[in-house]
Amino acid sequence: MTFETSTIQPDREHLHGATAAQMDMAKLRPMFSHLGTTPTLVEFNFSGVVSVSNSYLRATLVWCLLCGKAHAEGQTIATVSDPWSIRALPLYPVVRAGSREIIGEIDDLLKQRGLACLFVGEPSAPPFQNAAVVGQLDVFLLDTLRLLASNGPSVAVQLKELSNEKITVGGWSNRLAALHAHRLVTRSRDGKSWIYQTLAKEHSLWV
Amino acid sequence: MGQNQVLDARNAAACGRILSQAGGGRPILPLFESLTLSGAVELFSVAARNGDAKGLVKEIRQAARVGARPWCDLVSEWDAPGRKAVGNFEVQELEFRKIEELKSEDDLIEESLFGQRFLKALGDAGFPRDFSLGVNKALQEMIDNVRQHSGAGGSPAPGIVGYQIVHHYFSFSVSDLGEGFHASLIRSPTWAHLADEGEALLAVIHKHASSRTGQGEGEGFKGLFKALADHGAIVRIRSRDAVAEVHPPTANEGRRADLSWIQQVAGAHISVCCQIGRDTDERAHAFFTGLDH
Repeated sequence: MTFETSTIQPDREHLHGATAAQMDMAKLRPMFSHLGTTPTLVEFNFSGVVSVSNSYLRATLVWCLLCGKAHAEGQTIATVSDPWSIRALPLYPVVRAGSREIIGEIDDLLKQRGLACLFVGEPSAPPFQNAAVVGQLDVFLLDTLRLLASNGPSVAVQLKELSNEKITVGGWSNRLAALHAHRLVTRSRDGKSWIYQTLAKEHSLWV
Repeated sequence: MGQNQVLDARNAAACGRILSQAGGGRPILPLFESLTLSGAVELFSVAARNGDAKGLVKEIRQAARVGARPWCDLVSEWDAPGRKAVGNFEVQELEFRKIEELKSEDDLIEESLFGQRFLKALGDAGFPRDFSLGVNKALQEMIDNVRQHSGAGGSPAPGIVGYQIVHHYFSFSVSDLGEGFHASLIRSPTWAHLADEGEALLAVIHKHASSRTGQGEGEGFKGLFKALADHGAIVRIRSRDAVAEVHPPTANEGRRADLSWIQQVAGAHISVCCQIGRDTDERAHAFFTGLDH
């Protein structure tokens, strides 16, 4: 799958407040009107950052996750005048760099909100060689993610056949849809089925 | 107000009464033995909107000649058209700054420099690094709240921030002349039921209420309480006519907020002070003493 990519890399040590966040995100605004269904990877590079506030993260990373979730779930959100209200956008936010402390702050916030994202390394575009899952992801979804990564692009019935778990195809579909809503996998249509694909080849949980 | 009074954030309503005296040419500052940072910020916030405050401004300028430089620079900020950089303080651990919109990279850099000065001063005053980072984060969030939430029509209301840091003690205050918490919160369907400023304050303190629809809890005050109120700092929040003093959680109860009511004053004011080593006493660090000139 081909991605558009946009990188947010503030050059300040302290990232605080929604206003500064919205200024850093301003480069994304022109894209809103023509994104359509083109998946867009939004990379957050926090190298050199000493502290980051939850308000800043909420207006950047969390905003992207919620917009992506709205897109995944096919939500129709009424047009509002606030450019930073949640809207359905095909965004896939990942964290490219950051100290342990900063990733820890992100992990805490995402866990509080039941969200997750990937902390990725090389190369510069998917599929990443390996990724750490930051935030909240239950063990069944993590196992599904790893199974999908090992098998390559798959539909739900393929994962059911590969696994020893006794759940229905519908159950696998739900898990894959949940991973898609978390923006950890992409999907494309194949007739009546969805083909899912991971963004990374290997996944670990960030600790 | 009589002699030997300390003007602080709890006397917000007094500021309005004080300014009504300014027009008669009667000196104001000598009415008080001392002035805390929060009192100064409150007084100046109210004075900024009061056309009769010229007498107070003149009085402060005269006081500035005897060395209270931050007052002089603060007055310049309000008087000059546009924004003027505030700097060259003789007393490095005391600073005031007008809160305005961030419009450019230069604005972001200046904002960042203000935060770095505050952070350095905390370190020099003996506060641990991790704690200082949390305090700075909380201060920056409160400043940004003025930009994000104070104005009714999208543009932020005028605001001011000040901090004072001495050995093992700091205080900061963020004040604005905006619409207050209640008007901001009831725009969200989740909080449309709030009846008054008191309920709005309690919703922010206990439920992290936010005016942003569909984006979950507010993060700014959550961070303030986590970094400060839960560590023995005095935290007071005023929104128009309601004042809440926030107490840290104990073994027996969660965070407590004592609500009181004052005469209607425009806008909101968050004041924080914290001392290492013993119970925080705001009055022990009033900075503008000996005003009987």
